[in-house]
Order: sequence, then structure tokens, then C-alpha cells
Amino acid sequence: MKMTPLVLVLGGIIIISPVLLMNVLRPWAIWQTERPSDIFRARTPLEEKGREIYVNNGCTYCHTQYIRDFDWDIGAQRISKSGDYIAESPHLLGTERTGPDLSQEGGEHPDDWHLAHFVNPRFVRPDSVMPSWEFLGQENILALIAYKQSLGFKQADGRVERQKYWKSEAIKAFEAGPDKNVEWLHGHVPEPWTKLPNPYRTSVPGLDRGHRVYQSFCIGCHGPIGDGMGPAQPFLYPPPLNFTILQNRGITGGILYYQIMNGITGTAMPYFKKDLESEKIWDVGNYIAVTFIGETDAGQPTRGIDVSYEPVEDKK
Amino acid sequence: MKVEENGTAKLFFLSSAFWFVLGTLEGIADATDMVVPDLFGGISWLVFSRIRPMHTTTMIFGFVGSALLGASIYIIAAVLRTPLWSERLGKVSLWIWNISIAVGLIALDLGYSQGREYAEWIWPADIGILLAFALIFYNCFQTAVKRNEKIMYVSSWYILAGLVFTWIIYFFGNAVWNPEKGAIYGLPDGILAWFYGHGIVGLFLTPLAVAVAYYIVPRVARSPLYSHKLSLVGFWSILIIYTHIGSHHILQTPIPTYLKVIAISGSIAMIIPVMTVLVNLWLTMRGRLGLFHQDIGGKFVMAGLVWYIITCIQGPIQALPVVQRMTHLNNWVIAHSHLGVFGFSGTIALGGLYYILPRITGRPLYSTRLADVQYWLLLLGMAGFFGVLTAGGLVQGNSWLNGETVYRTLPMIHVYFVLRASIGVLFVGAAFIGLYNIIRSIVGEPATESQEFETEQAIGLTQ
Amino acid sequence: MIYYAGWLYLVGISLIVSILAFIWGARTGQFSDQDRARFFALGPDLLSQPVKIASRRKQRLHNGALLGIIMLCLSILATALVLGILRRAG
Ligand code: HEM
Ligand code: HEM
Repeated sequence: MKMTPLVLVLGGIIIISPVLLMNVLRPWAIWQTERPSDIFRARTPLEEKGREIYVNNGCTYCHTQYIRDFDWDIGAQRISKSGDYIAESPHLLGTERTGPDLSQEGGEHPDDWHLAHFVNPRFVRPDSVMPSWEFLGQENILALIAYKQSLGFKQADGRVERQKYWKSEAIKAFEAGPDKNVEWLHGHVPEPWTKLPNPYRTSVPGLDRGHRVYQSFCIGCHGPIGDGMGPAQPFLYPPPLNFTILQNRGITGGILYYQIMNGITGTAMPYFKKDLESEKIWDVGNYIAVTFIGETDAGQPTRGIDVSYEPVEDKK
Repeated sequence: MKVEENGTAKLFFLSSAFWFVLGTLEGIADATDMVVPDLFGGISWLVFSRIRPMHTTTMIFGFVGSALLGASIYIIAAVLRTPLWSERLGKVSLWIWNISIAVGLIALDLGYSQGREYAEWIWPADIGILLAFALIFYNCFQTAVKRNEKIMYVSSWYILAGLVFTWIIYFFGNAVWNPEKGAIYGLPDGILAWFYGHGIVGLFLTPLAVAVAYYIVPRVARSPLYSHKLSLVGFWSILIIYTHIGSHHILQTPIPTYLKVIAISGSIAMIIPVMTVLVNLWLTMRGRLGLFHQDIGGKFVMAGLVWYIITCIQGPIQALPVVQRMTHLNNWVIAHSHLGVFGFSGTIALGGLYYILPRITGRPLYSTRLADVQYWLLLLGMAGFFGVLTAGGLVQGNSWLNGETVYRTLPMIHVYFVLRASIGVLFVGAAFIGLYNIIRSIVGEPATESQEFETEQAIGLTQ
Repeated sequence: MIYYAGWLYLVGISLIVSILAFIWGARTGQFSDQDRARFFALGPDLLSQPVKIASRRKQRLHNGALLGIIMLCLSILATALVLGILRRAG
């Protein structure tokens, strides 16, 4: 027998069938007995619809949906397990992380933040390169939001509940007027932090750095002049804080630091502790205090040993 | 339908040139989106993530795929010393092919996608592509059955095997039994999808491109292949190894460990088939490089082989889990994709095109100079792409490993995004030049540059 | 362990198939006429086509460009490999 075309075809099929068996059928057989993981739950029809929009518009080209054991960003509290995926079809694992991983996105932000973000991501994340999705229309965006809030399944549900609870509290406080609102906001900062002044002295370079941070993280909501009228404002309720109302209301560096670090769950104000290191948070807090509030407690004498980089001549 | 000798191959080349222009325009649109995300101000059909799958599928199937299919159809007939079994059937498959691509792309642009990389096209397009593959295979198969030369040259093996494997992989990979979703469930769907995604580059683009190289290199060198036996070793080993290493694309997901082990060891073993091809072709062309520098087709193929070396050294390295911690999920992989799909298979496809086209039309290229300009633009562009994207990818990967968030790395890689878009302009220019040159070569008047293509007597090889 | 059994299974089947194919090829004389097969890409049409060799300058330029690219890319890859292994601690 010669190496005829027929033989070639047969040979190809003989070789590929064990490969198919091993790579497709065998894992498939394993997953026949695969159990849902501890966090799994089925999706609602609205969430399913949102998922379809996610698939059709190619969100998966920039967002992965799995967490590795050496990740730091959103969702890094839970490493993905195979049981998380049993209802996925098509899979949305992804191969690029131009945007953050979304497998635990549910409940990271309240719905109104998502709305602003979908209309134009730069409204809430000024450096983002994600496209604007306004053209999808209100209804589709709402479905997408529902899907995003379901990412993380039962854990997401818990986070979403938490967002809802604190949103209602925050709205009550906001509607009670500026005095009550500020009181409420400061009341939720733990005692040691409220008393903590900014340990660093005000300096021009420091304020410049704060300004830069402000432009990359805060300006979309709080606006260029700190009056809470950034482009995201029309979408958010309670609206972003107008910093000027903090004047004469007992603001301290510690309060600003704590709120920038942890955010205010329930409102669109996210936590920044994954994005910003300590110094950057102090810098931007001080920038806000000096530029918008007009009061700063920077460089109070309650400090310990000076940090080695601070200018010596300042020390009287 | 007009039936002429090698008409099918000629039209495949023309289609390829057209898709190349479209594909680069899509690429530049995407690259621009990453630099100025609000530039296209919410126009749904210009949004990054709808264009991106269009870009990849246009390039893989439209540009590289069409050129390789055209060259394959020509080559299989040539090395078996038999005319193509049916030009008529060839043209039918050409039209089904092109229409399916167009349907798939338009649907993607309108927001209908099946969401898995390189398998995004909706079901009707999938069926069309499968049909086209089947017809092309049948045509080549019948040509092989009717062949006048008993022993099959290595190129024809690669072509026939490539077509069969691609059909099977396309069928399973797109889950065509599930028209609505084109997918199965759970992590196995991820495995299946990457089994497919890897097969598309490894068992469609690679064998056909290698087939073209095995045909063109000896011809340009005017020398027999160094070793036919060695080429067969490479052929069988690529079939055995390449088919099951797809899970190296999802090594960091919770898939079973045994699949990861297969994927990693298989990726390293890929050095064997790759080396057989490269060594064989290198020994064939050694001492005759002067001929390659002069022949525009040979030149493209030679550059393609250089990119092949780099791709296939990069591949096994980035399949190692320690390396993937840093390279996975960022622009490093995008550099590799462009290196493989454009640098290797695309460049060889262009080489095949420029070598074969004048032999179909019976007159020289409209302009070898334009083709040369295109060559240098693409060489420069590819080198630039590789450097910029790899650098950007390393910045991303290292930042993430050191605890930076994805959002914080965006400003860091902005400059690389800008560079990518600027380098993209070279590609767009090259694609337009190519289209113009190819159209003029096919329909235009005889050459303007004097090229004694058929008339001059053969002179012996002076070494 | 069960996972690994599957892997061995695959390796076994692939090996058997390729060995069988090889034995079959050898026995049917597919590998006997290889010296003739080496010439199949060439054809009589080549005889009527001119042989043109690039000028030295052109050759040097082109070789240099390709070699430069190879070296550049390989050094990038080597760096990545080293970094990847060094940075394993993450
Ligand atoms: C020795 C050969 C090769 C090996 C071992 C190899 C290995 C790999 C690995 C490990 C990845 C995944 C990288 C990651 O996600 O971290 C990858 C991606 C890729 N490879 Fe290769 N590769 C090889 C050759 C090729 C060739 C010849 C082509 C093109 C014809 C190619 C095209 C691609 C593409 C397009 C991707 C990106 C897939 C995606 O994530 O979207 N590769 N390769
Ligand atoms: C005008 C020149 C080009 C530009 C500006 C360009 C740009 C891009 C962009 C922006 C992406 C998406 C990357 C991401 O998701 O982050 C991409 C992906 C891709 N491009 Fe290109 N590209 C160009 C030319 C080409 C060519 C000529 C080919 C092949 C023949 C090609 C094949 C691919 C492939 C296979 C991918 C998918 C990569 C992956 O999934 O890992 N591109 N390109």
C-alpha cells in the first residue's frame, strides 16, 4: 500500500480521535460529576439577558473572569474554583486584562455607579480606556448592571445587600441636610481616625502630587472645583459630596484618609486602598483640605519622630 | 462562471488582498480606541470590542486564510503534476468562503457574537465556512486521487491534513450542533474553545504556511529539498503534538492538572516539528541566499521563516507557568499573536502570493518595487509591533505581580498604545499598496518595469 | 493521580498510532524513493526563467536586517525568561 490520500485522511482521523477523546470527552466526563462550588447559584432571567449583552459586545476581550492565587486587584479575596463555572455557556474566561477581572465584581459598587460608568467610564474612572456604552440604551444597560451585580454569585448577593442597606442609610442622611449628613459621615469613621491629624506638612510638591491623584481618581464625581458637580453627578444618588460644606464641621486629615481608603459603601464613593498607597492618600486628602475646604491640620505637632525625607529647615 | 486555469487561486489572492486592507483598518480603529476611547463617540459599530473579533477573524480567515488557501490549491496541483480537479468547484467554494466571512463580520459589527475567541461568528457563517473547507478539501483530494505523480510531496500532505484537521476542529470548536450558543457548558467549554483556538493557528495556518514554504524555498533556491524524509518526520510530529496543547492558553484557570501537564510538555516538545522544518529549509537555501534577496516571493518567505523561529522560541517559553505569571493576560500575548499570525503565516502567505501570482497570470507583477516597499513596511512594522507590545506587556505583567491594580497600569502603558497605533499606520499603508499592486497585476496592462520574465534564457547557477 | 492516568493514556495512544504509521510507511516503501521526492517542488518551467542574484549591498542590508531582528527578539525573550524565573516569588 502506498501513502495514498485516503490513508492520509484515515491517519489524520486516527490521530485526532484520541486527542479529541482526551481533551474534550474526558474533561467533559469529569465535569459530569462536577459539583457547584459553595458560592454558586443560578442566574435570574434579567442577569442572563445581561450576560448575553456582555457576550455580544465582546466585554470578554478586556475583562477576564478568573482569579489566580497571586492576584492583588478586585476579587483577589477568592481564588476561582472549577465549580464556579458549571453554568457558563459560552465560557467567558478571557485572555486579556486591559480592564480588571470581573469574577467577583458583584456588589463592589452600587447600581448608580455602574450606570454612570456604562454611560461613560471616564465619568467615574478618568484614566479608563473602556468604551462608552450609552448607545445600548437604558434597558440593556440595566440588564448589564444586573449581570455585573451577580458576578460572584452568593458572595456577590451578600455584598449587593450590604450596598442596598447602606445606600438607604446614606440617602436618609443626605436628605436630612448638610449638617446631619456630615455628622452621619463622620460618625461612621472609627474614633482613633477622627482624631488623627495629617502627620505630613503641607508642601507645594505634596499638593501637586495630590492634585495629580485627584485628577486620576476623584475629578469625575467631585468635579474640578470640588463642588461635587463632576460629569458623573447627574447619575448618582446620593450625589458626590460638595467639599466646601465640610468647612467648619470638624474635618480632620484622619477622617479624609479613612474615607478615601475605605470608601463609603452604599454610595458611589469607592474604596481606593487597592489603587493608592498611604502617601498618595495623605497627599490627595491634603490637596482637598487645602484647595476645597480651606482648612488643614497638616503637620500638627502630635507627631512622632520625623520621617527622614521631610525638609529639615522646617523644624523650628 | 468563467473557468480558466488557476482562476480559483487567483481570486483567492485577490480576496486576501482585500481582506488585508479591511483587517488593518479594523486594527488601527481598535488601536486608536485604546488611545482616545471617546474619539468615535459612542458609534456602536466602531466600538473597540465589536471591532476586535472582526479584526482577528478578518486577519486569520480573510487575509492569511484566503492567501494560504489560494496558494495551496495552486501548489497541490503543481507538485502532483495534475491540474486542479475542478476550477468550477473551486470558484464555488471561493464564493461561499468569502460570503461566509462577510456574513460573520457584519453580524459581529451589529452585535451578534458567540463570544469565544476566533469562534465568534454566528452559526450560518460557521456552516458556510465548513462547507467551503469541505469543498476545497474535496477538490484537492480528487486532484490527489487523479495525480500523475505517485509519491506525494510533503506540501500536499500538509495541505490535505491541514484541511481535514481544520474541518474537524472547526466543527467541534464551534459546537455547531448548538446553533444558538455555539458552546458547551462550564470549564470544559473553555478547554474546547482553546482546543479550537489553538487548532486554528496550529492546524490551519501553520501546516498551510509550512506547505507553501516547502514549495517556494526549493524553487527559489533552484535546488531540491535537503531531505524529504526529515520533512515527513516534522509532518507527523506536528500532527501528534500540536493537536492537544490548546490548554496552554488557560493554564492559570482551575482546569484539571493533567491537561496542564500535557499542554506544557507538549508546548516544549513543539521544538521538534518546528526545528525539522527550519533545519530542512535552511539547509536547502544555504549558500543561495542571494537568490532569495532578489526574488520578491522568496524574500517574503524567508522573512516569514525568521518570524517562525522567533514565534516558536517564544511559544515554549511562555508556556512555562513561571513565565506566564508575568506574561499571561497582557500585551505580551498580543505581541506573540501578531508575530505568529502575521509575522509567520501572514508573511509566508504573502510570499506565496507574490511568487505564484505572476505564474498564474503569465506576466510579471505590476510592480516589484511596490511589493518591495510593502515588504519593508511590513518588516519594520512587525519588528516595531513586537518590541512595543512585548515591552508594554512586561510593564503590565510586572506591575500586577508587584501589587499594582489594572487601573493604575493603564497610564503606564499609554505610551505603548500610542506607539502601537502609529506603527499600525505602516501596516495600513502596506495593505493598500498590496491591494493596488495585486489588482493591477491581475487586470492591468502588461508590466511597466521591464522584467524579462518569460523571454530571457535560463542561466546556470553560479555559486 | 487519576488525572495523570489520563495523560499517560494519551501519550500511549499517540505513540502507538505514530509507531504504527511509521511501520506501515516503512513496509509500503513510502520512504524508499525519498531522493526523487526531494525534487518535486521544482519543475521544467523553472528552466525558462532567469536566475537573478541580488547585489552584494542588497544582500548585506537584508541579511543584516533579519539578523538584527532575530537578535533583538531573542534577547527580549531571554530577558523575559530570566525575569520570569527570578520573579517567581511574586
Ligand atoms: C512552538 C510553537 C508555539 C507555542 C509553544 C505557542 C505557545 C503559545 C502559548 C503558551 C500561548 C498562550 C499565551 C498566554 O496566553 O499566556 C500562545 C498564544 C497564541 N499563539 Fe502561540 N505558540 C506557538 C506558535 C504559534 C504560531 C505558529 C502561531 C500563529 C500561527 C501562534 C499564535 C498564537 C496566538 C494568536 C495566540 C493568542 C491567543 C489568545 O490568547 O488570544 N502561536 N501561544
Ligand atoms: C494595522 C495594523 C494592526 C493593528 C493596529 C492591530 C491592532 C490590534 C489590536 C488593538 C488588537 C487587540 C489587542 C487587545 O485586545 O488588547 C489586535 C489583536 C490581534 N491582531 Fe492585530 N493589529 C494589526 C495588524 C494585524 C495583522 C496584520 C494581523 C494578522 C495577520 C493581526 C492579528 C491579530 C490577532 C490574531 C489578534 C488577537 C490577539 C489575541 O487574541 O491574543 N493584527 N490587533
